[in-house]
Amino acid sequence: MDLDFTVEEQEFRDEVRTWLCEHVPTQPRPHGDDPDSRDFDLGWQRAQYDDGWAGISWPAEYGGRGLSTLQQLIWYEEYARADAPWIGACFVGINHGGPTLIARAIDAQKTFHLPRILRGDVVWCQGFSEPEAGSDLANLKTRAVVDGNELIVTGQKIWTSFAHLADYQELLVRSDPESSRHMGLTWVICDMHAPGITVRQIPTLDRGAEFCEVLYEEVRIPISNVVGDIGDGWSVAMSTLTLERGTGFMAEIIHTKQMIEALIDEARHRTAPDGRRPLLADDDYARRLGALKAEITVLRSAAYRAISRNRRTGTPGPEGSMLRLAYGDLLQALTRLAMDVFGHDALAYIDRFRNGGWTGAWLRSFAAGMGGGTFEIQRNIIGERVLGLPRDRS
Amino acid sequence: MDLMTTGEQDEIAGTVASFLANRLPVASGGTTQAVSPFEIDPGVWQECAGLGWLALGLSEEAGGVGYGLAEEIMLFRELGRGVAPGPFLPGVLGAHLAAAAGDFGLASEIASGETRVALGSPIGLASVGDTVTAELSVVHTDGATLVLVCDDTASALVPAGECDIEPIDPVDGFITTGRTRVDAVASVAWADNAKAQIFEHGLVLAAASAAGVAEAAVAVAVGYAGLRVQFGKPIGVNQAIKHWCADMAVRADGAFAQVCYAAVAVRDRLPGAAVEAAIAKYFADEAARLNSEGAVQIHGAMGFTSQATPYRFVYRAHLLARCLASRAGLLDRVIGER
Ligand SMILES: Cc1cc2nc3c(=O)[nH]c(=O)nc-3n(C[C@H](O)[C@H](O)[C@H](O)COP(=O)(O)OP(=O)(O)OC[C@H]3O[C@@H](n4cnc5c(N)ncnc54)[C@H](O)[C@@H]3O)c2cc1C
Repeated sequence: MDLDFTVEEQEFRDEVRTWLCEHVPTQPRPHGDDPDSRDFDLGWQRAQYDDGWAGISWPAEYGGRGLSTLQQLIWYEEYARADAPWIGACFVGINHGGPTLIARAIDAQKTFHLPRILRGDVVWCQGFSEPEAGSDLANLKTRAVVDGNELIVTGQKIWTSFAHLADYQELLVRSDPESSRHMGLTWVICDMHAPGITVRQIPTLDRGAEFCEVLYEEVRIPISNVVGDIGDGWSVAMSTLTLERGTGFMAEIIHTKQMIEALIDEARHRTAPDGRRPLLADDDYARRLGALKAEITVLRSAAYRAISRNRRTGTPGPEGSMLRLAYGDLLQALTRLAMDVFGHDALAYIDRFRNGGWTGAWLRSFAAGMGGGTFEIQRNIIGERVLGLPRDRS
Repeated sequence: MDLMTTGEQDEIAGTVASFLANRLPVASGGTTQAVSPFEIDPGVWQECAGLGWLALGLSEEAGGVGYGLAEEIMLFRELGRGVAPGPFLPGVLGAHLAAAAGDFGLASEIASGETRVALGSPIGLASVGDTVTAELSVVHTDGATLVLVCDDTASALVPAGECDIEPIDPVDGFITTGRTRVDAVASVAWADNAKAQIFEHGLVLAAASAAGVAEAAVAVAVGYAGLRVQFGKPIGVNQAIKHWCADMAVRADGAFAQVCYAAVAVRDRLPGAAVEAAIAKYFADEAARLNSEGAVQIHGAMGFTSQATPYRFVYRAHLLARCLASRAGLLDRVIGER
């Protein structure tokens, strides 16, 4: 049991820190989720790629660095410390689609797509959720009919983040019309510029515009774009979900530690309700901030232990849901407390990428209880798969 | 960086757990108090000491086993899981203090179990040094000849005979408890906290026990939720129960993770170790309290009896939260200067 990093790892940390310090964009990310946001996100990805910082843990043969889990952790820690930009429209490519391809795609698919994702050439999006298939993803109905060497896709996806800016999509469809639930699904790479695709944006509560509804009218996709086998889509989709729920969002966890320290500092410089003392001299505020700092610190320790466990077992387990749940819960508690700390100043909307963008961060935090599985679904997973409680089969 | 336990550490835990299961099983069966006149049977106490439990982290030079805080937390986690009686916390801390003060003779007397130590937590302002002046809440008074008093300035061992401890009827009837005010009592041994860090050491060990209580409470609740059938299904099928268990599990997992982090930070004297230790104690106390409450509720009326085990977790969580430092004091440490 130790918290030591080897000399090699410390040198790596120094290198990362220096690079980030010199290269983190000085302009905030544009909040509009428009082509400017896309350019910003891809430009930052490209800058990382050009200097060899993209895909820290991706295999070297596809343009990654092939480094260890601990080096990846160091990268995330320094990334958060440097206040480097949110990954934005690059999220699905880097954290979901890319890793799925690495795990399940054939060589031709990997050599074509992975370097493009890493270089920041393309934006990917995720087409899983549908109007009738949210938490119950296996209820999805968008259908694909095999026609020669093509799939013809007709249906509707929703909540597809950045579909309007995307080049490719990881698309989950029902390829066997007789099938139900988890059977008969197929995971396929869809070209978002293909004829028959209509994208409509849906405005969000935090004044963003990443949500989209995507309609497919007889969209033709080459069968060579199928990843895994036709009918095996559920297993392909699940191969990276544990990643999304586990340590894949380490940077965000570390970032909450930065945020609570910043909030405590803010309370030092603001005035208490009595108008005479710093806000932090007020016991109620001080202890609420202290309790939250404690809980966020505990989450850091739990994440360290999860990483240590993964290094032993080689695979992230369902315990990742525990981190996900605690993280979402704390992000909401943190930004809610910030609204109290800011008092009347919190009447002003400031988007979350700008300095002092706490109101934007608070509004965004509502999403932390939904994406990647809602709080309730995470609790089901912990109860059933970690603790072994019986499932409700009704 | 590796926050998982080693094989050797797991072995320590396994040995302790099986000893406790055989020799000190979690008492239930209708009692809210220890049945013997002793807090812990003197023979069993000597066996524990003989197994080296009080000397695990003590240096070989001071007559100890030569492990460190990371091994000691494995012991205290099991003591918490098994809601064991016995003055282990003040014993281990007292031996460390005696060794830090250069009195290896006293260290080995305490570590051998011969000299028993009670834990005195100061209430309000205290002066701890070569003499001690303080109001004290004292636990593990049974058979103790010394009282360990410790705060974040210093820690000291004072003769119990000079403390005039007034026994009280404790909520946790398995732990003998009292109250006293001492005025300029001379210390037998003492050390500055900056040097010996007995206070942070104690926070981490107490937190390990509280984390153990939190874990045992989840295990008991989950076990019952899978067995108890109502409306034709195990109650654990219902999300009101299942999700409560999930939250308890997340809390227990966090509590022990933070205990591991803090143990390493204190052991290696890393920057920020004092805050990590305070966080470990604060969070583990909360986890033990909330999880023991959950275990009671999930057991229904059975949880309200002294025949099922949840009440033992409620008692112990309540006691641990009042040892060394409590919620508000710990949170003040987390925030620091303000
Ligand atoms: C910011 C954001 C970005 C997203 N991006 C994408 C994306 O790019 N691609 C994509 O495919 N999807 C995306 N999603 C959708 C996300 O995956 C879904 O929101 C999620 O799966 C939940 O589905 P739902 O919204 O339909 O809610 P529902 O499933 O309708 O749930 C509504 C409420 O009922 C509860 N509930 C549902 N079932 C149960 C149950 N069995 N037990 C207890 N409670 C239950 C839920 O917890 C929730 O509180 C995104 C969502 C958000 C918020």
